[in-house]
Amino acid sequence: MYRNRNRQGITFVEVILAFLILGVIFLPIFFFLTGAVKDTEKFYTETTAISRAKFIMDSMMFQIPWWAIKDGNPCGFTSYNSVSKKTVTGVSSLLRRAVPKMFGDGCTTGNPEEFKGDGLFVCRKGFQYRARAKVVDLDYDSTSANPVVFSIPIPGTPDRHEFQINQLVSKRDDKFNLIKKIIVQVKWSNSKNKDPDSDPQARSIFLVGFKSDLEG
Amino acid sequence: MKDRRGVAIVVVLFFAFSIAIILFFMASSNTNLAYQNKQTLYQMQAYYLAHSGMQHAKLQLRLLPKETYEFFAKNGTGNPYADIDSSNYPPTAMGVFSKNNAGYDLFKTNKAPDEKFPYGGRYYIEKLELLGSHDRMKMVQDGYRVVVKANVDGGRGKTFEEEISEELIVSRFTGGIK
Repeated sequence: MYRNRNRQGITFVEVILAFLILGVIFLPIFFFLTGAVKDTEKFYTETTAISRAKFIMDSMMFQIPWWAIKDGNPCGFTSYNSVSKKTVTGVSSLLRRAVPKMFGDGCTTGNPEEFKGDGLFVCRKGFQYRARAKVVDLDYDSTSANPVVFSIPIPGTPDRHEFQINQLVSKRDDKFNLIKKIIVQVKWSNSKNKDPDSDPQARSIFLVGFKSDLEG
Repeated sequence: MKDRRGVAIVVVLFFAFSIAIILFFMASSNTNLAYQNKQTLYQMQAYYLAHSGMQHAKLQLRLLPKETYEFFAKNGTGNPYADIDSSNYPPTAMGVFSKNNAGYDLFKTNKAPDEKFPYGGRYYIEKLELLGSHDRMKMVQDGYRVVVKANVDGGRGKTFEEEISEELIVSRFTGGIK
């Protein structure tokens, strides 16, 4: 019987070799894709942090009354107006709703009318974020060496109308104050279910604003 | 039978080229996301600085309505609020981008001193103009347009800018005396 010696199939060795070559090609691709997924999560956490910092800063700059924000690190929030010596109902309900949404767990104090600008929240994917706001009163006494001055030139003369803060406002909470410096920090861990406080690789973003007393 | 030698190399090259293109676009898309997040943050910071400047201008208008009006009434030229510039006063002067700011942390003791900032930046009043004055009553109302500019130093020579403009009405009590 005649045998065709010129067979055209694929040998087992050739198949193994092909798989080996494919493996060599696809291994870096696999690593790249895994890295890309991790990067996507990294950008997701960063976006969530930015969005939360914006929410906090918007609320503090434009929603919460100037007098209701107390200086400190973390800052405080109160619905008790020290000038009228009353708890303001509208501000009280605003703070009760807004502050826990801004900072998450841990922002409450023993007093239901007072909150602190500090807390921990967890996103839907399980990443943990810590948010904190620091407020510094730029009041006359603490900045008296170089205070913010309010001045306007007098036309036709080299002189200016110049006023110090203590000439323009009466003391409130023992301070002559018109401007507060607000710094918001959101810190997060890129590892799921890990408190950023215990993660040396934790990342942070900041926002800075100056809130003026437009209500007095 | 046609000679098909060399077809394999073409197929392999096409395959490799396609994969390279896919990987390139995936990598650049991720790089873009990182860049956009950074841009968003700095631009947002410039936005809050601009609003800080606007609040500062409103505060001065509220405190000094008479002095501000008199500047324009006496044909004053230029910007009477040029002094409202965060870099003029140490408590508001954020300075420029600095690597020293990298360790800034509100959660750590002594890592966020009161006089320091995590960013470099500035706000200032670009323009203040009197649009009109309604003065037929004891309570006079003046209309102003305020233009505020802010910039944030993003490091490596990059600056992020924001400009906002508002028209305001300010009440000024004259007691009937003009």
